Amino acid sequence: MASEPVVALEIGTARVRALVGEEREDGYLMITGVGECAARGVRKGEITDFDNALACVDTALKAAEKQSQVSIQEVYVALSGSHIQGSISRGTTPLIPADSEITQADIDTVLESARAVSLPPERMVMHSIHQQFFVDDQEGVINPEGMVGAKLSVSMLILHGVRNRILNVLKVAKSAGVEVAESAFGGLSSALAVLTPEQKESGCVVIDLGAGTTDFVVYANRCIAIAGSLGVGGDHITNDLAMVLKIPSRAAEKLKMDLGVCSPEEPVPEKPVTIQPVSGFAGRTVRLHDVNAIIHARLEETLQLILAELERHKLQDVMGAGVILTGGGAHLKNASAFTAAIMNMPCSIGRPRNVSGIATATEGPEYANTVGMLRYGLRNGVRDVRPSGFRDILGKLFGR
Amino acid sequence: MAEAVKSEQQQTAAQHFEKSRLLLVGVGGMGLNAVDTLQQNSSAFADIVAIDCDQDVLGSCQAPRRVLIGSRLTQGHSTGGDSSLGRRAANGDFPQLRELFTKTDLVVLLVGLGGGLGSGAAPVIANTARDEGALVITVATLPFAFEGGDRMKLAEEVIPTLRESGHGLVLMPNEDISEVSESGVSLSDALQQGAQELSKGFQLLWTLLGQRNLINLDFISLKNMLEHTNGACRLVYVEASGPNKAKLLVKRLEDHPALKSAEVLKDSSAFLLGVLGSQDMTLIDVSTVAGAVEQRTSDQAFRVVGAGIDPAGGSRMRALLLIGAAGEKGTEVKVAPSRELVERKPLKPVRPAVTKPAGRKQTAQEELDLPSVVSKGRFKNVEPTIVQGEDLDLPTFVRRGMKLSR
Repeated sequence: MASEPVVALEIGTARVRALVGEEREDGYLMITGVGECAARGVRKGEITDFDNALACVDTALKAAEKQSQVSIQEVYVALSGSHIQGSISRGTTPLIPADSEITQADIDTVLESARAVSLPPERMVMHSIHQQFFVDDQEGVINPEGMVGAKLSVSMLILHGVRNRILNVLKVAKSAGVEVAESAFGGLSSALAVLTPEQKESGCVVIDLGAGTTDFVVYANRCIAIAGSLGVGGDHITNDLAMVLKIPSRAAEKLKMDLGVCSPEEPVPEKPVTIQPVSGFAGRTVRLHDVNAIIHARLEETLQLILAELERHKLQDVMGAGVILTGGGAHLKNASAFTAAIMNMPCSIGRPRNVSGIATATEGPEYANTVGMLRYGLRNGVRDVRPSGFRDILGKLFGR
Repeated sequence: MAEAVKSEQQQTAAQHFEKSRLLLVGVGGMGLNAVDTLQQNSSAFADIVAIDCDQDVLGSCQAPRRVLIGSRLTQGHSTGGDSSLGRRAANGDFPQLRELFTKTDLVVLLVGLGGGLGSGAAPVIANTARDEGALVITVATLPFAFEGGDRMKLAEEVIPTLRESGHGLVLMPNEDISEVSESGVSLSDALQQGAQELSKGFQLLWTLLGQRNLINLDFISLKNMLEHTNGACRLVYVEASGPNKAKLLVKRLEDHPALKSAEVLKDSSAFLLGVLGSQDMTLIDVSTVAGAVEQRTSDQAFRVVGAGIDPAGGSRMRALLLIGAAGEKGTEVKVAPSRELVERKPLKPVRPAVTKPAGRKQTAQEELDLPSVVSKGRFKNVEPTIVQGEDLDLPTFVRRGMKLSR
């Protein structure tokens, strides 16, 4: 028998998506309802117009309800936005008496001390994910219980964001008449949806190219090493094209979707590209060369920022499985070849794994985020527990 | 009485200098070397600024004003040849750079291409100075052949961007410098010699621009001249003294390695000749030099000639020749203008590098007008995404100073 249905909601910059799904006995995720609405009132993953955003969420939820024949009571919400940052916190506790056996209580103490980070008052902790334990100077301890040492440390990835921006997103969902069961960083949920255990094991970086933000999550040395969000996404490519070529946004969007980025292996062909007239715009011919240069510059810059982040933590050489590109931006033509060339590591497109049901949601990388949120909700499981904010469940879920 | 006139002259000159400022800016390792040499040779005719991201290198530079950029990116070390790091360093410290160029009329940017900071930061710095209203001439040295193909490739890649970032680009292949010096001259002397020629050339130009002349030369004519080139120039400076100094000057011009092949002058679309002499310089002296140059250039070439007296220059007669390469603005700049260099080291056609594909190179095409004030479009009313001082909401294409082809 399948599990109770769970609902995931993503208030994205381009689209608001609601998915209803349940877990089959074989562990597959069965999507029973999809609700979508072109988003308004959202920029770079953050709410800029409450009423418009609310109307979109309402539409998406209703559509999902209708298709799945489920009355939606509560949702799991994916969050993004450049305010979301990751920091690494380290907690240490002395073992008294020295060289005594480490107990669960010691582990709890050290986790607690690592979790206690001081953030500016406007920020809140979204996730605290433990990475590895250290017993004295020994690194990479997975379970220290029963080991002997003088001091126990743990490193922890603390993902934090600006409180009001997070609450605003949740408020939109609540205003649409549903409870927020839990919320999580969209980058993590995308990773949860697309990664295979082997990829996590070999080390990889998941890049979720959204419309408003680019989220990244780095798995290295069997834990989530770093994660974060850049306030740059596919919308920027469209906007760049519109601004530089002086064409309407809609034409720019079409140009982006049709042409993508040219293959890094071949020279850019010299050819004109006709932009069809739309109301108020007489149509024009531009050069493929220019279109490619604009998209190329933006995409390269975005990837370089993530690469710089990897290099800052000296992780670029441990990405055995390379880049897993997901999100709507992964549809861009030649995106994976381009990414592989820029990042100098293998790149594949990340699609939601082990999913069946409605085809669109099972195929497209743009659904990684919501599908991941469903998985999160399903594993979180216990329905009657009232959520009281963010919990440290992700360590178990996303980690090793 | 004569003393009084002289001091009055100096005073007006001083006032003029105050009003219009020349800034010599050295960027990166090679640029800093040039600035150091200039510092020794130029008797305070210009303000000198050194810009680098390497704390140690910058610390050893003699320039009175030193600006460290990109300290957050490189922690005060070099870019290690990474030009994107150089670019980001300059972009990140954009406000600091902009401050440098307020109230400056002419900026001469000295840079060695092929390295990380020079290649990456120079276009950004040139752009910044230009936006602040200064006339920007970039003087770029190209790597020696023995420095390896990678550096030459990087230099080649950055030339189109650099040319478009400022008003004029003077290319000085290092190979030319070695040409100037005789064999057996040490490397540092050879480089020194190159920097000296540069320094003297710009000192001459600046003197002419800053004073009233027999045949006047001003900013507008310099700007016009640069507009008649494709953005790339060669600079030749010679001096002579003695009874037949005008003829000797012509001879030295003829013998100059940069002018060895007659085509350089014949093919030029524009040139600027500045002549500076002592009180006894005659009109015949000036016309001898100007005539010799005009004879060798095409009739269609746009010409600017200025001649003046420099009482401080002694009995020497000095000439500066800026030769603009022909072609529409935006056409391919010959990286190796000297014939010798081409013969010695044929440049292989490079496959477009993966990180900088053909799209980046704006060659053989005319530039379109670029939105001078770039709109942020849909990101107009949202909080900007600022990373390392750059507003990422503005098109990357624009921030990198790239131009549309036509």
